[in-house]
Amino acid sequence: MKKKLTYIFIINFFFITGSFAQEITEKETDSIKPKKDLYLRVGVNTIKPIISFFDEDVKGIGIIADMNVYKRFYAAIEFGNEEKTTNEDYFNFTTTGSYFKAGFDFNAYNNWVGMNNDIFFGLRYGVSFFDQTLNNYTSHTIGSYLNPELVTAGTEFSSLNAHWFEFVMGLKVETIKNIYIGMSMSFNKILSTKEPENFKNLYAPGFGRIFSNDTGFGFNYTLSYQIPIRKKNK
Amino acid sequence: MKLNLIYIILGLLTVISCERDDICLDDVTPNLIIRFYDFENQAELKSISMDSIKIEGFEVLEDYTGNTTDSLTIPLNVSDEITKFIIYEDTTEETITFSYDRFDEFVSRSCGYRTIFNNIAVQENSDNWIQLIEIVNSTINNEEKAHIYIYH
Repeated sequence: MKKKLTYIFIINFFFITGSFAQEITEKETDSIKPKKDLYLRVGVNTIKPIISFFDEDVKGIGIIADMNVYKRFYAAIEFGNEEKTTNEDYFNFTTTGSYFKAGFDFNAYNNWVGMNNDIFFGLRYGVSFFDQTLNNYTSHTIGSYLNPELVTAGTEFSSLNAHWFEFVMGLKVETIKNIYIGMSMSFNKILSTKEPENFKNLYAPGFGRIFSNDTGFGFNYTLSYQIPIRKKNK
Repeated sequence: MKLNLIYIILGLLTVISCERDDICLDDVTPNLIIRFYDFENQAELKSISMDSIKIEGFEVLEDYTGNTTDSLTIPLNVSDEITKFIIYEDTTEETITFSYDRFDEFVSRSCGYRTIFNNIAVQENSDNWIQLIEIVNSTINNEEKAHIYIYH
């Protein structure tokens, strides 16, 4: 499933390349176009509430906002809260905490006048503050001779943090007037973390699963509402 | 120009893609390695022939049933502070009880925690044929060398 979506995104690039090609011819007329509207889009991350509905190990909320600040560039932020229990082969842990991301998007889609759909590429800086609780584990022994007991640890590792950056790409489409449905995918790379002692940050709120080389993937669905701030194009 | 940017981003994505970490390839809980030496000539290895060996409260270790060997690689109980081995040989039952401190060390996502053993000591042993037990390495955190020499 995830693979399929990855392919769809890669295929999307070919279409975007096409839209860039068109842009060159338009550029000359750019200066006489009326000044763009200014608007703020505020929304929620819809994938987290959906997942938490089906999976009780996941709880979370995410608020997103973006604003067209300069030409095709949008300032974008996201913040939220997460609680997630991860089951691994030999242990089980719960991560709780908050995150904040800020950055910009570049809209590669050429809209008709009055339209405001996006196919965007962006960059984010993310930070999260969280606690990890090691719920239980079994010591990893070779073979099945000992069959070790489950150790109910309940060890808390608090005041941990992570800093990272994300490459984001996605789209936002106006479906009903001023209501946008969006989808995005991100590639994340950790810059620094405060690691727990005798454990490891394997998950961070806002980042998701941290792979062994400090990378990760994110996938989001969003629903946002557009608030016009300035209308100059009537 | 903008096209190049897209290619740079795409290139970056392929170069720094995720590394799988769900197969455990690291060292996990080490076994105890015991070597048997000749008591008369302490530089010489001397094999023992046993019917079977087990940890008290567990099954017989099948690898060593009816075996003649000069070295044993056997697990220590990770859920207890002591492990009592029983070696059956003809009519004799030789027992050795090891005591130790346990420490559960985090390895990785796929390997989880492993137990390492510190301050291993012989709490008690029978002496049907065992003459001397020497602790060569009191910290068991790898399987590179023997930890215990038994002279008989």
